[in-house]
Amino acid sequence: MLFDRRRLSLEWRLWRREPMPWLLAALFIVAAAYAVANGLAWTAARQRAIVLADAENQRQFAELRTGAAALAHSGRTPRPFDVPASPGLVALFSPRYAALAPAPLTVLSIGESDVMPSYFRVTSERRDSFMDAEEIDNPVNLLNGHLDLAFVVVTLLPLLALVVAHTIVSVDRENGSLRLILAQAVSLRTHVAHRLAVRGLLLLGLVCAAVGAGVLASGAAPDARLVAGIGAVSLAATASIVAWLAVGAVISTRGPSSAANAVGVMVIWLVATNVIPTAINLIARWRYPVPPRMSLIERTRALDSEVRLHVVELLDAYYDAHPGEKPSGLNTAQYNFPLYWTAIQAEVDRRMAPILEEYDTALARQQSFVTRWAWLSPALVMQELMNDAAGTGVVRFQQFIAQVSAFHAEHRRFFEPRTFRLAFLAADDYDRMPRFAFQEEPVAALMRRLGVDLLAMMGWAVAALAFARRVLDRPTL
Amino acid sequence: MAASLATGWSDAVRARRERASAQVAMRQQWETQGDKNPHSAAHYSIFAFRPRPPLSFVDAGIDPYVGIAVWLEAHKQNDFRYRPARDSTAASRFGEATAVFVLQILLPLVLIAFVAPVVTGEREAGTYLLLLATGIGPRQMMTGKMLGVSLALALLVAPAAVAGGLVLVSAFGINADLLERAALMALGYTAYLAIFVGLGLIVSSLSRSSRIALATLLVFWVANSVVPRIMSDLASRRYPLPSSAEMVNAMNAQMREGVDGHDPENARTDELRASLLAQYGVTDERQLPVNFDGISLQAGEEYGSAIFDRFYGELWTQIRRQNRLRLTGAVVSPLAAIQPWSLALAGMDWMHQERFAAAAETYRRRLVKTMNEELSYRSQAAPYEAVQRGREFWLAMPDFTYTPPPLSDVLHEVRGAALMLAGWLAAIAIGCVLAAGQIGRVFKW
Repeated sequence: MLFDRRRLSLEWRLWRREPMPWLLAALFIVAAAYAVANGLAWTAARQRAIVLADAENQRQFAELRTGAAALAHSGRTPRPFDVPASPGLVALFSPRYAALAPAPLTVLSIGESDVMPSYFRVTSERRDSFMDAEEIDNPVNLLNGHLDLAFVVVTLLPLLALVVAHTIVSVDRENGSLRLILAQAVSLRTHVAHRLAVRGLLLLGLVCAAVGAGVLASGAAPDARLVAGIGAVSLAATASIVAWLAVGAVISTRGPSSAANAVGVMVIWLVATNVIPTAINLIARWRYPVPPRMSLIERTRALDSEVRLHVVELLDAYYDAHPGEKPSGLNTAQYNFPLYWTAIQAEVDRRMAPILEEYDTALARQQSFVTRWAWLSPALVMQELMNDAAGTGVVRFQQFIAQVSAFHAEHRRFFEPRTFRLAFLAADDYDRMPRFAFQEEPVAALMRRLGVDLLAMMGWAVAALAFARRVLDRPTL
Repeated sequence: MAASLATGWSDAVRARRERASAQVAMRQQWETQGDKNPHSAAHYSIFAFRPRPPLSFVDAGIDPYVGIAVWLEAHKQNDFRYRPARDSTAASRFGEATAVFVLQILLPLVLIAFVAPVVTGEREAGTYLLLLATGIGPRQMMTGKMLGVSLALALLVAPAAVAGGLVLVSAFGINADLLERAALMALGYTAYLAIFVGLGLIVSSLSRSSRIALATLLVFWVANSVVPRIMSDLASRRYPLPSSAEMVNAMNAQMREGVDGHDPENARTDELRASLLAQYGVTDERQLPVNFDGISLQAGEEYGSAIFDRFYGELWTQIRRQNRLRLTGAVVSPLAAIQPWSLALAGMDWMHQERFAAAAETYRRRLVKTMNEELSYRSQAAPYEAVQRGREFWLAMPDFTYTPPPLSDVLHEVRGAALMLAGWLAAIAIGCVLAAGQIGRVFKW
């Protein structure tokens, strides 16, 4: 057996007499409780925004449907600007909300959900006009970030592990008891392993309790995604604790003094949680620069102006390609707002597609670079893992954006032919209108990503343990 | 420090160049938009690009979290679009390689490591008694230690500060306002770092060992770094902001009740039409000596402006309340005081954003009004497409210009942060005096 229960018990009885475990537990519990409360509040606020938006959207469309039914009932021929009957105007002025509901584990990590919108107002306007809208927030709050459970696990947990481990050998060396310990029939490695195990178990217990409390408080229904998320977070947290305790033990064994070790662990913590992620981000930005958004605005406006000059030709080309759809007596040269608007937006969108592709590609390459090199920083890997488990990671937002783009195209396919035929919307057309529902990726895809991050965390743990073992076998006396 | 200044400088210069070029391009597009109805021109309008002040190379502040541009179109007070944070990877949330990170986070850590053992170390090395034997009192020793540490810090920071100053002068010339802002920013950071030096000395004087001193100071350093984050969350919960959808829907609901300029069956439009017909003593819109569409559009604008003022006024007030609440964190965290000071002097805080948004909105209303009045009073009832204006008219519309708030306004805005920093300095000074008197009692030999 690797660990002796009696030794573990002895170590715990020794440690619990110190103020450290209680201080540490109190600090963690306060931080985790605050973080869980924050995560719950954040999830509730996001959920509320979506529910309100959806309720308003349903009210608006119910009103339009009633209007269209009343118009049909009156027997009057609708006029082009009768909104409930005009497909062009409904498509433009009555946006459909496409929302991404918070995932069950959002309570664990706010992740990217504070900068990425959780809903879009889809209209017949070109894609970028609604996809680049931003959610309201105080920018200084965004700059400071949030204290969520991910922050506790990614940033504070390594710090606590380092705090309990950085004196694990040096204190004995400084008070002269290290030689006595080494004179026992037990190796320093075993002695330190038992000490660290007690500390690690306390930390792990606290993390699991915090995650469990967060999940229970959120009231999430158990399913495969939830179980995969909780399992991955718990295992990765275990690996993180092991890795950081081992790093602390190495510094404690080789460092010159407990005071110097404290500075050493802070520097290592800062490098892992800040310097490496920042460096990876800088390199990604340098290698795959996203073109300036200012030039996108310029190019879009120039394109829009150019297309407006040729709107009649565009309409003629459409009717030539769809001969059965041209209404009799329609003069395309005569200004017709819904018709012109629809044609212009569709054409600008078509021509904008390769330009927007440049931005999406650069961003995807940056993110892919970061994911590829994230293993260099356990903090970065852990954050990505927690974001993925919580459904607030980059991948889920990319999937959301892709699905909204597809919905936009479907929305267009519904309204455009009706607009070009100068048809009117009947009440039952409102029942056939496309609606957005986000499709989650298969659980297997999520588990694959979580698995890769988990492997990276375990790699760190194994490497740190191997290094610690080597160092502990040859301690500095 | 040098690397972060260089990165910040390169980003800021590129961003300033891109913005300047985009603003010029906007004006060119406006002037060459071709012949069209003035109201169509009000829809085309321009984008206003958020400026990047020179000192943003030291502190880019809220730049990643605010859209870079706002579309000043008819009928709507739009929000800013294209947050740079959305064009970044998840790794960017761990921080950016900026000078403020070095000044606010890294240097205090270096100082702590440096200062924690300065008094305890004398005892541990057995040199304290020797020092006393030379006739030096504890206060003199504290003063000497403080001067020594400060000098070392100055040697560390001065080259970067001088380099930063030279870069500023070479790029923007001897600009009194800019130099004053830079000097005040430097003063703030001097105070911030002095707090760490003083606190380090106090803790070192009162601790029994370097290890305890260091541990105490590290706990403070962590708390200092985390408190602004905690306060941000507290502020968000104490003064919640509406979601974008909530605000848009609420504004739309109010707009529907008024003249919207595009709905001829709207009751308010009918009322406006009736009053105009009565005013000019005619019975038909086509007999009016003015263009009813233009007047109706402008009436819709004015009604909408009142709604926007109310909603955005409430939103901005709520954000200011959040910022004030966040500042109370400065009681335990000097970072919560230096952050608003630095952001404001760099021109990258909420106040600068609010002023710019207000200036852009004022321009939008002026532009739309000019277009609507051209339609109202210089073209009688005519089909929409028949009313056309061209380049000459577009040229007559003044360009959008923005003057950042004067330094006096900035200082007024950060008076709370200045008071907090001053309070910390005063407390540290008193603490140093008291701690000097305690050195002998702590060292029981």
